[in-house]
Amino acid sequence: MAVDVLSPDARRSVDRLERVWREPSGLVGWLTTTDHKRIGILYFFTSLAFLGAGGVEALLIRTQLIGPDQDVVSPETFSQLMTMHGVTMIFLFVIPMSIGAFGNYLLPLMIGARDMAFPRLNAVSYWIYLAAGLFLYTGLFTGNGPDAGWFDYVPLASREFSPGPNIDFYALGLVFASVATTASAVNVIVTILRLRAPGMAINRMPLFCYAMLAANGALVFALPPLSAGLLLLELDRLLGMRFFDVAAGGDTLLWQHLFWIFGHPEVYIIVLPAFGIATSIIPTFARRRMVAFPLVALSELLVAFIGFGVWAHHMFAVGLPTVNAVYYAAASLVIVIPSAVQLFAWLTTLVTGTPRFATPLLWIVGFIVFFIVGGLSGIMFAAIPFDQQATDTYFVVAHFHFVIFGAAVFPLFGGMYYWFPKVTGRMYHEGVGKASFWLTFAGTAVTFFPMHVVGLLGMPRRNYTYPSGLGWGPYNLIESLGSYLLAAGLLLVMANLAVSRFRGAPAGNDPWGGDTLEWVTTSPPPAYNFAVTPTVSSAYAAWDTEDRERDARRLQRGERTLDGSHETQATSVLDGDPEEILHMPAGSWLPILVAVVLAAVFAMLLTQHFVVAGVFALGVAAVVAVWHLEEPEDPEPAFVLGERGKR
Amino acid sequence: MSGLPAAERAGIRRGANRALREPWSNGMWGMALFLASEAALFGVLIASYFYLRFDAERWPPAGVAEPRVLVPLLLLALLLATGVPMVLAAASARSGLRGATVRWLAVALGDRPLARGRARAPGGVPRARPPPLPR
Repeated sequence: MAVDVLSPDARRSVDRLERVWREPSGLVGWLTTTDHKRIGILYFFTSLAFLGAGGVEALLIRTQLIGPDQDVVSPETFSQLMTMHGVTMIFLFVIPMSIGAFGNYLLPLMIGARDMAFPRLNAVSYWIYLAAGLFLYTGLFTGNGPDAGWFDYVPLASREFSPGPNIDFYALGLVFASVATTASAVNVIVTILRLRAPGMAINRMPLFCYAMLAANGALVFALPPLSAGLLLLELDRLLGMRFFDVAAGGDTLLWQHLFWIFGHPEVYIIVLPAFGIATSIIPTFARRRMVAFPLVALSELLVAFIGFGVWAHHMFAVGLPTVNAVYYAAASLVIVIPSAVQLFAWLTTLVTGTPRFATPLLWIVGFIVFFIVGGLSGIMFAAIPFDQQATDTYFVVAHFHFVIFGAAVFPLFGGMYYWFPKVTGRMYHEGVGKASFWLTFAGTAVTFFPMHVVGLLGMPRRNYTYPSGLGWGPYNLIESLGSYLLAAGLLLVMANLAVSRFRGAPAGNDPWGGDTLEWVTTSPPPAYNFAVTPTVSSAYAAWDTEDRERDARRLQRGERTLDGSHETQATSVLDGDPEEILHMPAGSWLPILVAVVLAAVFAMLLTQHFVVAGVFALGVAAVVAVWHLEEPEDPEPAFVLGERGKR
Repeated sequence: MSGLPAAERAGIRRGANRALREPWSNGMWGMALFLASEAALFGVLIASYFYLRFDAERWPPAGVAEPRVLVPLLLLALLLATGVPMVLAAASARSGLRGATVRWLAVALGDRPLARGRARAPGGVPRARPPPLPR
């Protein structure tokens, strides 16, 4: 909507939108906000803080392992650091950053909506996530951090071998966090299905939305097995039941199954949003449409689906029947196919386009390199005999760090650079951006590649130290030095963005010539995102100049501005036909209240005050009841009947 | 919810290929997804029970009685049976039939006098026809 002078009609609509969508300024505004952009920013800084915490844990681990027989931290502390590093990076950093921050901020903009489908539920998700993160870290800071590894195998995690509250922090904290994740997953799915701009049929939806749809669809079904497992674990630990107690007839493998039915889809849930970011950045910088769009879209969905059928490849060494093991090995090979389809589509788009290697695309190239490295070692694990040799060694650590850090997190940094101008209205420093990429790229390779070798030499993962004379020392030294390089690279990213936030040159609406709708609106976008409801006729809406000029003409005539109250359009699931106008709720204190009372429930469960926990649970029900009494606000109803009726 | 003028202003018109049934609202979609998640949770718990039953040495553990399923199954059947009048009540409500709605609801709740049509509603409330739904 590149209009310099607004007509009187347009001016009137924009003024009304400004007034209707304005939120209170200052702290109150942030605490009560339901604006998806502000919630996305809250998610961004919170998950960044957890990245810092998880990073410090990683550096402590690497410092402890820098040479043989070190005692930088005690064995108990090492176990807690190692566990919290995994829990933090997976539950408190990658998913909240990719789905919470990127998903929240970008999805409504990309589909031409004004907010998520359930704005207050969105706020609840954020506050519960924050409370759950603090809950888990309360454990670590009181010396009771979870210490049985991120997959928390029983019997190590049972009351008998872990009598303290450490594992209770883990189990209750993760159930707590998954309340938030489930709510946000439902929100994202309904937003994608129903809030798309008129004309954005499902086959004209940006690939980023497909990736988000796949990841969140998988979350809806992946979290329940985790919750079930954690429920049984806590029943064992708090009430003395016997689900995982072999002596009483229980079965420890049940925990492993339940955990990995969640855990393996989780890997794809982590990496799918990264695929989505890659498919956003590549067309923009290659200056061409994505190759094999339908195949890439289907592959994103297929990866999420097949991801549910491969979990037992984490359990090849525990004595599964051969038939089962072979099935999971085969399924693990099948999932390579949709992953490879996407990989070749990205590469072909780059090769047949005219790529400009600005910082965001560099991160995507780094992502592709590391995804190949981690993917190839992943295929090796599908071979059962190899897996049985290499399981629980540093080879596994090398594999999943290339996949999770190299493939899932690199696009997040690429995305931070790519959308930084949109979110802040300023440009980052390109030279420092490139330097930060190369530093991080080198740091990642130096940190994680030697782990392949040291793993094949037999070094087991998770041990707090190792003796000298086994030939592991030099590799570990290199890895530790690499981790400092990596940390320096990430600090440079943050420094670049932080300084550019205040000193960067003005970016304008669309510094890249981006292909999706977020580049059409101003930088940063107004609270109502778009003054005119955009009408879409392809998956590259920002490149359809005729459509955008028609939107601009409509704005000048004051048409399709939906400025009566918090309004946005709802369209049909498949065809994107307009169906109704939704009245969205304004800011509210209830979301943060729900999170606080729910935190009290979990704190009481942790301290085994079950009756008090029940009372607080009734409190949650009461807050939710009040919530339903309050209808979405209609701040200026006069427009609905009076002025608007006449137009 | 939305007045027609607003709909017109947003350029909303019924597409030629619009589905014949009413589209699901966002609330329906959200609730369906939450229920899917809940169903997965209960499915996993039930599967865990059978996993232990088939794989464990002895389950349930010594000293714990075998689960008795007759009464819960009967209650479940009753619960499912109340679904029928609830569906009919919803259908009546959608067609604007106030009396039928109340009666089917009463059947579902087991309120016999009300179900037989003996209204206990406060006197003097006129039987207002519901306003026509905006199409």
